[in-house]
Amino acid sequence: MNEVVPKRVYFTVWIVIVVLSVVNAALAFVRLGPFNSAVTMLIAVFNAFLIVWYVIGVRRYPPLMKVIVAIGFVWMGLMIHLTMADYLTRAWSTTTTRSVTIPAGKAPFEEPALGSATRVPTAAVPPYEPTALPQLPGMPGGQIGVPTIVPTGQIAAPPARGRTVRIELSASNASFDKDRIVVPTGSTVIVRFTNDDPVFHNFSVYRDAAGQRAIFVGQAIRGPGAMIVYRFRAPSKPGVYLFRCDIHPVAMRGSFVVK
Amino acid sequence: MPEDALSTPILRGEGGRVDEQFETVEQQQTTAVTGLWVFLGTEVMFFGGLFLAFLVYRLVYPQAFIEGTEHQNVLIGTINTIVITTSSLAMRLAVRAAQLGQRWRLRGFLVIAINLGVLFLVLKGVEYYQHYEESLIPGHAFKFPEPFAAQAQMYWILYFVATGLHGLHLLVGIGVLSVMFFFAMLDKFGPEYYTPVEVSANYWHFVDIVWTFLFPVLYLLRW
Ligand SMILES: [Cu+2]
Repeated sequence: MNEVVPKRVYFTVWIVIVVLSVVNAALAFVRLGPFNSAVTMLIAVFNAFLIVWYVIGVRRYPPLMKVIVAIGFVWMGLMIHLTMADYLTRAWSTTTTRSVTIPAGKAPFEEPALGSATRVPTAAVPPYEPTALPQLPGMPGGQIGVPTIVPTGQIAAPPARGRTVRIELSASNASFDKDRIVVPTGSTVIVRFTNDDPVFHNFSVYRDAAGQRAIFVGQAIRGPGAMIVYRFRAPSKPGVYLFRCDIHPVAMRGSFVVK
Repeated sequence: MPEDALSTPILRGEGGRVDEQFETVEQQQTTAVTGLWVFLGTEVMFFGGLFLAFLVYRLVYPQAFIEGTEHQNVLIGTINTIVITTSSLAMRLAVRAAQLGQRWRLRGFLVIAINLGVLFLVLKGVEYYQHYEESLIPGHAFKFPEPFAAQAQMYWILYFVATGLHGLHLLVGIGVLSVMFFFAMLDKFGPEYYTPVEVSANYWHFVDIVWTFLFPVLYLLRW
């Protein structure tokens, strides 16, 4: 490991790293779909490898020293692997939906003031109990424990006659269970939102598809099994608005139809 | 002949400086470099933990972290990447000069490496000042558009901890390289003995490697 290495080795590595770093910075502003982060990190790993292997010169180390060099990186890999194995699987669950018993004629939550949200502590969620779910206005009926399946694209809540409409919405595996919510113009909307993911989600409604002009922005909650109640006034103008999770605006979005 | 300031070496054979517990110069250098890598192993785990924390939060708050990243100055970040890579190259050329017994080149490359390290910290300071002006320092004065203020603050906490610790390592490196320069001025190094230069260079390259990851992770993950 004591040989004198030709200068051109070091200069070549320097040029490659500088060029790749500039390319990497430029690529951050070009949309490559899901590949942006992967390409960015691959270039970083490659640059780091060049420094370790050619500049520090680990390639000229005796075998035992190569092992010692590798140990630190292997342990870091183990640490990241085991930790992510935990974090990435926390959303995995044996039950599809956490259901809640609503006593007949009584809402299980305080109805919040307009434009506000009430946080329901997890402990307040009644335990699993197979009873019939009272028919909420506009909700397809169902048995507790049997997830109420709303086919994608189907109307989740057709216009109710009254001034108040209740919506059940849940999120799991970073997606909403509905991609279309229909409410009457000017109605008071109460959204009971359940988050079954171990990450934060919220529910917001916007006038425009870009999510710039908010009608209502809900507080984010973290699951699994967390619930929050949002209450706001639907626009008085009929039309198709946007609802989404602000934390995952690309994956979690749908049409908020007012008519 | 002046008293040796580094250690009390026993001069053997071809004039190499070998401490008494070693048989050869090669064994002595291999031991020193191995010891450095044991230390660097703990550093890999140390910075690895930070990157892991960032990865977890990046997955939990993707949108907030993207919006936090959008406040970064990619131009200064790229320039700093080139500065630290060049500093790393200069330090490696300093080792090569020591191997070849080129005294003045050794001193010159050490000066270049040290000054580029200082330049990196100055540019980092410029960035910190921009963050301060934009109220992005976590704490009471932190300002960020809702609904991501709290989540984005987590990005900025991780950013300041990671770049702060990296800057601290750079500062230590500048100190080590300055000591090497001092000894180089006293002609302590030559083809037969340059282990301290080699070990400091490897530490300096490691600080460069950390930045090789910090730059893309903190500045470039925008999608
Ligand atoms: Cu979400």
